[in-house]
Amino acid sequence: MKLVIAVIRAEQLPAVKQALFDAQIRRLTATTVLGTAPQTEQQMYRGVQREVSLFRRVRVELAVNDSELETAIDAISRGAQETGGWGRIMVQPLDDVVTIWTGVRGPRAL
Amino acid sequence: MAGLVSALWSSPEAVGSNINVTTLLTQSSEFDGLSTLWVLLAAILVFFMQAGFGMLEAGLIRSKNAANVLMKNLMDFCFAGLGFFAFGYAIAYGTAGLIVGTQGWFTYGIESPVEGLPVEVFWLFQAVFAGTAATIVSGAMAERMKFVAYLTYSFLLTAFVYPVVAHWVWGGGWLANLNFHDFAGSTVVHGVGGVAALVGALILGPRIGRFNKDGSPNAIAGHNLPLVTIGVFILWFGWYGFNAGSTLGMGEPDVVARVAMNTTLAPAAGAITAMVTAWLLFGKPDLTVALNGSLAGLVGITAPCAVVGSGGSIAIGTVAGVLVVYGITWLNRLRIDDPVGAIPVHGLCGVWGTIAVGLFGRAALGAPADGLFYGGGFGQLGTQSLGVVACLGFTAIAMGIVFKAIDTVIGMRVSRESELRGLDLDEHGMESYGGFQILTTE
Repeated sequence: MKLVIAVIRAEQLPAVKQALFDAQIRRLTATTVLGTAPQTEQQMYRGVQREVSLFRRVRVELAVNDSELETAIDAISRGAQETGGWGRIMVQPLDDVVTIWTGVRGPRAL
Repeated sequence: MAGLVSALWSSPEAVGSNINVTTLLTQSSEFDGLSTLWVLLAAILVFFMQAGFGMLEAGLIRSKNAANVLMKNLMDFCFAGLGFFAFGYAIAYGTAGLIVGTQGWFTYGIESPVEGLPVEVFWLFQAVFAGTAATIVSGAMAERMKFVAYLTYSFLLTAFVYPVVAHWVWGGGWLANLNFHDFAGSTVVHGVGGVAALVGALILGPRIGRFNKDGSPNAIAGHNLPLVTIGVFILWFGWYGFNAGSTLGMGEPDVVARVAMNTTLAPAAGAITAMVTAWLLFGKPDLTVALNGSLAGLVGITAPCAVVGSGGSIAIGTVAGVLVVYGITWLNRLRIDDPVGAIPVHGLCGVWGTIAVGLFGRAALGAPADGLFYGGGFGQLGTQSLGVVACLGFTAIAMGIVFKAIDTVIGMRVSRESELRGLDLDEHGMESYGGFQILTTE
């Protein structure tokens, strides 16, 4: 099992979600986070210049079976490509998953 | 009930001798009902400006201090109400001494100075003005001032400092005798509030992180611009009461109408010129600066609103809108931290509006003399300048003493830890946005 973490822009989330759904992967958790970018941005607020280096991002997480991994990565990439192509996908090994209601563990829990 | 209904539906002759509708409707009284209604309504509009200030200030500061500044907005009005009841009214509108009034403590034995207007309505109208002067200051000192220190300040300002200036100009004092003209309070309310804000901000010092060691400024962005915007619209709305209600009656409807029209034109011009100035200087049209611009126009037209024409009103608003933007940049250069722009809006444009009476005022519209641009020479301009210097000089000295005394006895500023954590949690033990995810590191 793998934990897939994608950090994307907020405006990309609907397309990424739809691409995952289209690939029959109907599970994800999204949170709003702050992240850096290669470039900082200069803004003016009431006549004072300020450098913005932390930007609002969305962090998408989903656990997948090894067999679903490439499908999930493809889907996230496709959704993100349709909406500008920004973002990173990170993949981590995942030791276990527990469905609380049934107590089922491991790949069958997904 | 049935009798009353039939009485209302019957012709006066048919009602009988005990109730006569005609005499009910035309009952003579020592009071002028229409004027009373108008001033009462205007006082209620001015009262609502407290909500405007609260929203404006809460939106322009960080979320961790919003409840604190709202608490200050609530309490300064309450302290103003009681302070103005106990001492303020007597000093401002007691007997006509040249410097202060000395009768009517706790409103005992007061009589209305305006014919036909119940004294309670006159008191209310003046009390909400005192509350406005007090609440201007909370924004400039936001995010770092101790709550108890603020309560003490708001009582002292409204009970003793503001009433002295009000007496000089509106209570039959020496400036009134010199024909100094401040119709609704560019100097008396906004100048006093703006100067008190300046003195307070100087004594408090800037917020942590607002200026770098080399003196260059950092932006500390407000957390809710929709709140700021609704606050400014509420203020503009209330300002129709503030200015047009200062006629203190409906005896001259043409003056009320002119004031209301001018109270529309000046802020419109001010918002536009502030937007354009910010666009040229900073590169983008800044919403908060444009909103400050409309308030700048409102403060500017407050003194001359009754005695200038439409052209004068637009000119006054136009200048105020430019002034306020430069005022914001000047404060940055002087390392004075005013999170909401209270000092440029109320102080700087209060001065401008008062001086403008001597430039654009017209004797034909009720000014003491024609202004400089209408062939009246420098006479009224001199009187206006003298009044500004006297009122604001007195306010600066008095508030310097008040704030220094508070600093010595109570302490003006919260601890560094408290300021970093936020005044909501440290002073009040609550969060403004419990249940919301606040995505900020400030």
